[in-house]
Amino acid sequence: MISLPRPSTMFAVTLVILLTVPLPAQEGEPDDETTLPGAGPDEAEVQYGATGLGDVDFGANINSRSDLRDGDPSFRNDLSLWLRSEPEFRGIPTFSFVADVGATNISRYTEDEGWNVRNLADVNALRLGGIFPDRPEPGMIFRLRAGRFRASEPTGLIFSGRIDGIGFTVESSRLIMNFTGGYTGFIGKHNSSVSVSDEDVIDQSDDDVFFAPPRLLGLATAEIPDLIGRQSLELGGVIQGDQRSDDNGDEIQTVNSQYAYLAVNGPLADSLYYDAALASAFIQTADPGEQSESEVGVAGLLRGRYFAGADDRHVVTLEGRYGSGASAQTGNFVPVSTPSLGLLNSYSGRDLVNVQLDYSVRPLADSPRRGARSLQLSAYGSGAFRAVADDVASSVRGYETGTRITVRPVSDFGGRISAAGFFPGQEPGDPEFVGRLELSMRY
Amino acid sequence: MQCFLFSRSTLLSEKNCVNIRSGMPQRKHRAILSFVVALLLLSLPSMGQSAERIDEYLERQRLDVAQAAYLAAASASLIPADSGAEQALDALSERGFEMRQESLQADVRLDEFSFMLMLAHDLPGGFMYALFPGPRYAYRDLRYERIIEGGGDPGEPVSGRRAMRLVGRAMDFSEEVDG
Repeated sequence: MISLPRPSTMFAVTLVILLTVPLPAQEGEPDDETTLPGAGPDEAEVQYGATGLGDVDFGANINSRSDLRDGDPSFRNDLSLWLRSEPEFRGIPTFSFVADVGATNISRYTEDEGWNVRNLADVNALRLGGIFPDRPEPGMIFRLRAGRFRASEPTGLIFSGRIDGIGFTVESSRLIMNFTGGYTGFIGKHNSSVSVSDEDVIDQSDDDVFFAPPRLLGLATAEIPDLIGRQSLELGGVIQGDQRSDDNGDEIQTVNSQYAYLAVNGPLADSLYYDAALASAFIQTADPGEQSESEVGVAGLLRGRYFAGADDRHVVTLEGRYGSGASAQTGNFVPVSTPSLGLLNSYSGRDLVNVQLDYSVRPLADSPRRGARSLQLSAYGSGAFRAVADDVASSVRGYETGTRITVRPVSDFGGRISAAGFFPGQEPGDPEFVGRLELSMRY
Repeated sequence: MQCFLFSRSTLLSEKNCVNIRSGMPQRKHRAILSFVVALLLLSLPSMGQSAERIDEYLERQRLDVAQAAYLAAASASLIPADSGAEQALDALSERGFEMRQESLQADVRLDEFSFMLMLAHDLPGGFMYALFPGPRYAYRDLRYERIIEGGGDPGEPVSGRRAMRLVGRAMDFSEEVDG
C-alpha cells in the first residue's frame, strides 16, 4: 500500500509545480520576468508606497581592535549608533537617509610614555540620497547624494575616504558618469586617511589636532562597463586643493595636486581576473618663503586574482604597485590618501615599488551555513622597494609577511586574528612584529 | 568596477559584492524536483485544496498575516494543509510568535514573515536573535543567510510570489542545515 506523503512534502510539490508553471500576467501586473531598473533578484512585484520612502531601521555596532606591537599594546574601540532608511530602488523616485555617529577610544602604551588614552567622537556618516529613473533622459538613472559619505576613485592609487560634500551619478546601460566634490577638514583625523603634505604628517602625530587635513576635493569618473568580453574601462580625474592656513599668520607649506587616471579590469580566462590602472599626478608644493615648485609623478597598479577549487575556495592574488620618486625623469607621486599595504607597511605610495602575493582559502566553502562558509585563512608576503635607487640592493625598503584568520559565524558577530612581521632592508630599523585581534558586533 | 568575493579592507561589510564567482553551495533543486514530481503523481487527488489556496496566494500583491502564518506553518508540517489561519497562528504562538498587528487581515511585514519562517522551520539565528527572538533579528538573519535576497525594507509588504520563494529557500536551507 502506498502511504500518503507528509503535508510538508505535498506543500513542496504544490510549490514547485506552481512556481515552474508560468502564470499569465494580468494587465498592469508585472510577471516574474519583469526586471525593474535597479531591482535585485528577489524583487517584490509590489510598489511599496507611492513616494519611494522606506522603513527606518536603527542599530549599533561595536568594533574592537587590539594590537600587540613589539610588546607594546594598543587598543581601539569604536561604538557607533546608526539610523537609516534605504529602500530598494524599484523604478520610482526613491529617497534614502543614513545617520551614523560614533565614539572612539584609542589607547596606546609605550615604555617611554606609558599609557596614552584618547576619547573621540565623530559623525561617521550623515547623508541624504535620491534615485530618479528616466532622468536626465528616458532609460537613464540619476543618483544624488549629499552630506558625509565615503568616496573613492577606482584605481585605489589616489583617494579613498570620507568626504563632506555632494555627488551625483548618471547611468545608462553603456556609460556611467560620477561627479563628487567636497571637503575633508571637518572629519576627525582618526576617521580619515588624507595625508599629502609634511604638515599633514606632523598633524597625524599631534594629539592636540582633532580634524583631518583641510582639503577641497573633486572627483570625476566615466565608466564603460562590459566594453568587450566583460572588460570594464574607467577614466577620470581628481583635484585636490590645500586649504591649510596658520592661525598665527605664519606661512606654512601647502600642496595642491591634480590627477588623471585610467583603469581596466575584467576576466582574462576562466577563474582568472585582473585589475590594471595608470595614474599621473601634477603636484604643486609651496614652501614658506619659496616659490611654488611643480612636479609630475606617475603610478601604476597591476593585480591578478585566481580562483580555484570547489566553490572557489582558494584565491591567489598577486599585486604590483608603483609610485614614482624624485628623479631626472619623474617627480614624486603623492596620493591624497595613504594606501593600506599591510599591517606594518605604512609607506605613503611615493617612491615605492610594492609587490605582494596573497593566498586565502575557505575550508568550509561548501557548508550550507554562511557563517561556516565565511571562515577564511590567509597568508601573504610582500616586498617594498624604492622606485628611485642606485641599484637593486639599495632599493630594498623591507619585507613583510603575515597571516590572518577571518570568520563571521553569525550575522551579528565576526572576528579576525592577524599576525605580521616586517624586516627592513637598507633602511635603518629593527624587525617589527605585530599581533592583532579584531572583533565586531552588531545590535 | 568589479567586486570580488572578499574585500581585504573590510571585516564586516554590510554591502555585499556582486558575486562574479558563485561561492554558494550547490542546492539539490533538481533532485528534489524529481522526487516531488513523483510524489505528485501519487498523491494528486489530495493536492486540490492546497493548490487552490496557494494559487490564490500567488496572485496576491500583499499577503495578510493570516495567509503568511498559514504558509509558514504548513510548509513546516506544523499544521495540516487544510487548516485555517487560527490553527496556523496557534502553532506559531507555541513557538514564540506574538501577534503584533491589530488584525489578521493586515498586510504582513517582511520582518514578521521572516520571524514566522524562523520559528516554523526552527532556523538557526545569531546572538541577538537568540537573546531577543523577534521580527527584527529574524529579518537580519534571513538576509545574512541570503534567504531574503536583494534589497528591501523590513517593514515592506510581501507579495504571494515572493512569499513562496522565501518559503522554498527556508525549506531548502532547513533541510541542508539538518543534514
